[in-house]
Amino acid sequence: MSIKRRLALLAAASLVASAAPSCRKAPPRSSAPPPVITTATGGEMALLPGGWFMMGSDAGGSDERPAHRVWVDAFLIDCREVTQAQFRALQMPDPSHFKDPNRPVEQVTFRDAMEFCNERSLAEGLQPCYAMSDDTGAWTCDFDANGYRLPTEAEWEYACRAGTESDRSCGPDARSLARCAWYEANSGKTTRPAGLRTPNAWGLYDLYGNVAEWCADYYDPNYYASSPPRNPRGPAAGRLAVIRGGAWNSKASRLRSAARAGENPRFHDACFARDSIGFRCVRKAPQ
Amino acid sequence: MRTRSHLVYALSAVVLLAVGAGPTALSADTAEQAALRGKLGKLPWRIVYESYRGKDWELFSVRPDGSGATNLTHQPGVDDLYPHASPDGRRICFVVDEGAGRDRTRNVYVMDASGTGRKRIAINARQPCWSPDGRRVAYLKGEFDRYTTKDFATKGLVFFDVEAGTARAHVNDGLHHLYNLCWSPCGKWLTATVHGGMGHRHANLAFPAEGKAVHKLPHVGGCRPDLSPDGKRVCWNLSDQVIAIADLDLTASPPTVTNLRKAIQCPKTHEVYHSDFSPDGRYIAFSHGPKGGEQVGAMAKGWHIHVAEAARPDVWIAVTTDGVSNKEPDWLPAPEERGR
Repeated sequence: MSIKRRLALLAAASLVASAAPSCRKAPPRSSAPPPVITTATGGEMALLPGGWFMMGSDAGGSDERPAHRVWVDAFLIDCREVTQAQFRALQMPDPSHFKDPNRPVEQVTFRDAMEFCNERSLAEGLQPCYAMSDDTGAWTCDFDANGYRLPTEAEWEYACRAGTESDRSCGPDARSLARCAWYEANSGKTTRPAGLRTPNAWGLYDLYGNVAEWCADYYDPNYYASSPPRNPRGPAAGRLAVIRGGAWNSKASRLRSAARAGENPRFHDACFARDSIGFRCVRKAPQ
Repeated sequence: MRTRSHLVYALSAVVLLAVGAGPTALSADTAEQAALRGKLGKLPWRIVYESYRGKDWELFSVRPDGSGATNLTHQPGVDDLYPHASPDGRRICFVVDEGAGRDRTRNVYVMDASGTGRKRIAINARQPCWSPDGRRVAYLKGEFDRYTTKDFATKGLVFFDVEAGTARAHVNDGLHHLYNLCWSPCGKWLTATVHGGMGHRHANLAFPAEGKAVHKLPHVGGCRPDLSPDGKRVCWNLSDQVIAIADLDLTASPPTVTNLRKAIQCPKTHEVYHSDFSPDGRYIAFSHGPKGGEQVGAMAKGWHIHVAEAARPDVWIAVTTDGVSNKEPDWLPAPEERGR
C-alpha cells in the first residue's frame, strides 16, 4: 500500500474517531504497523493515527491516577531515540557519557532537546516550533508549526501503549521486558545503540529503557485530575518537566506505559546533567 | 551564621545599588565587611570582569573594594567576554562573540590591560588562559563551526605565542570537550573540566602542558577549577551553591587532592560561580546572583562580582552594583594602584 493511500486511510480513520468521542475503545491494533517515513535528514518516523486511549493507571502511583480517556490528534514520531550521530550531524556538541554514534544522546538538557528540534526543523525546511529567550531562559512552543518538537506526555503514552491498556505493551513478565527494553537487569550499566530491542506494535523502539525521554509538559503529580480530554499539553507552568519510559539504570517497576517522573528542565550547568535522559521528536501529521 | 551573612550582603547590595557605581557605601557594611573592604582597597590589583550593559557585553575593571569601575572595551555591537589577565598585569586575553545569526563566531583576542591594542589571535576558539610567564595564551578550539554558548563545545588545545604570533597544537590531540582552562604557576600543568568527552561523564582533569597523560583530579566533583598562585590549592564549584577549596599536589604522581573544605556558600535561590584566587592567594573573587546562566555569554540577571577572604569565606563584599549581569572575575595586577 502506498504511503499516500495509507495517509488518506489514516486521515479518514481519524475523522471517524474524532466524530465519535463517546467511543470507549482504543484504536484497534491493526495487523500492519503504521506507515513509516524517512525524513529529509534521514530519521525514520511513524505516522500514528489520531485516537482515544486510556491514559494513566488506577493501579499505579498516585501521579498516574485517575486513569482517564484522552484523545490525541494524528502525529509523526521518531521510531528511535535521537542518536548521537543525529546530534552531531547538526553541529551540536554531543554531551553524552556513553559515546557511540548509534546510541541515544544523553546528558541533554530540556533546552538542548528544544534546540535540536529547531535545528532539525531548519535543516529540513520546516517551521521551528520553539521560541527561546536567551535573557530569561523562558520558551514557548508553537504547536501549529510543522517542525519538530518534544512529544506531549499524552502523545508519548499513546505511542508507547500502541493500542494496549496493560502495564506494558510488550508483555507483563521479565522475559518479555528484556526483549523490548534495556534496563537495570540487562543493560550492563550503559546505554545501547538505539533500535536493537523488539519494537512495539507501532514500530517504535526503546520506549521502555535505554534513556528516559523528555516530554513537552511540565510535571504536575495532580494534573490528571483536571487535564482536558483532547490533546492535553500539561500545566501552564511548573518547576519540573516530564520524563518518561525509564532508562538503562531503571528498575523494571519504572518501565511501565503509565509511569511518570519529573526532572528539573534547567539543570543548565553541564556539571549536573544526567546520563540517563535523552529524547525523541514528534511532528504534526501531514495535512 | 550563614543566614545572617546573606541578610547582610543582601542589604549591602541594596544600599550600594541605591548609591550607584561610585565609591562604595561603607555605611552599609558590617564591621567585618568594612574591615575586609578596607583591606581590599589597599591592594595593588584590580578585578576585570564581563558585564552586560543592556545592549552588549563589555569588559570592565574595578578596584577590589568596589570603587573605580571602568569600561575597558567600548565595543558596541560585539560581545566581549571571559577576560583573563596575564600574571604581570600587562595584557588581557578574552573572547569576542561577533557576527549575527549563522555567521556568529566566538574568537579569542588579546589587548593591553588599558583596553588598547586589541588583536584577534584565533577564530572559532574559546576559554583562553595565560602561561605563568605571560608569553603564551592557551585556548581551546571550537568543536564545530556553528556558534554555541555551550562551554564544553571544544576540540583540541592550542598554544599561541603572543610576541612571535605563532600557534602550535598541544601534543595530545585527544583533548575533547574541555572548558575552564587554567595553567599552573609552574607552567607544567593545565587543569580543566571535561564534559561528555575523553571517556568521562564529567570530571575535573589535570594534564601536562607537554605530554599526553591525563589525570582525573580525585574528590574534585563539580566544575571550573582555578589554581592558587603557588599551585598548592584549587578552588572550584562543588555545586551551583558551593565553591570549595582543597590542597593540591601536582608534583605527586598522580596528582593528589586533600583537605577538601566548603568555602563560599549561598542559598538554593542563588548561585555562586567563577571563583578566582587573588595574586597572593588570600582572596577569592567570584560571581553571585539569583539562578541564571553561568556559561560564557549567557545572561545572569542580577549577578555581581564579590570578594571573600579564602581563610574567612563567610564574609563577602559586593564589588559591583551596576550592569545587568556581571560575571567571570579575574584578578588584574595593577601597579598604579600601589600606595593609593
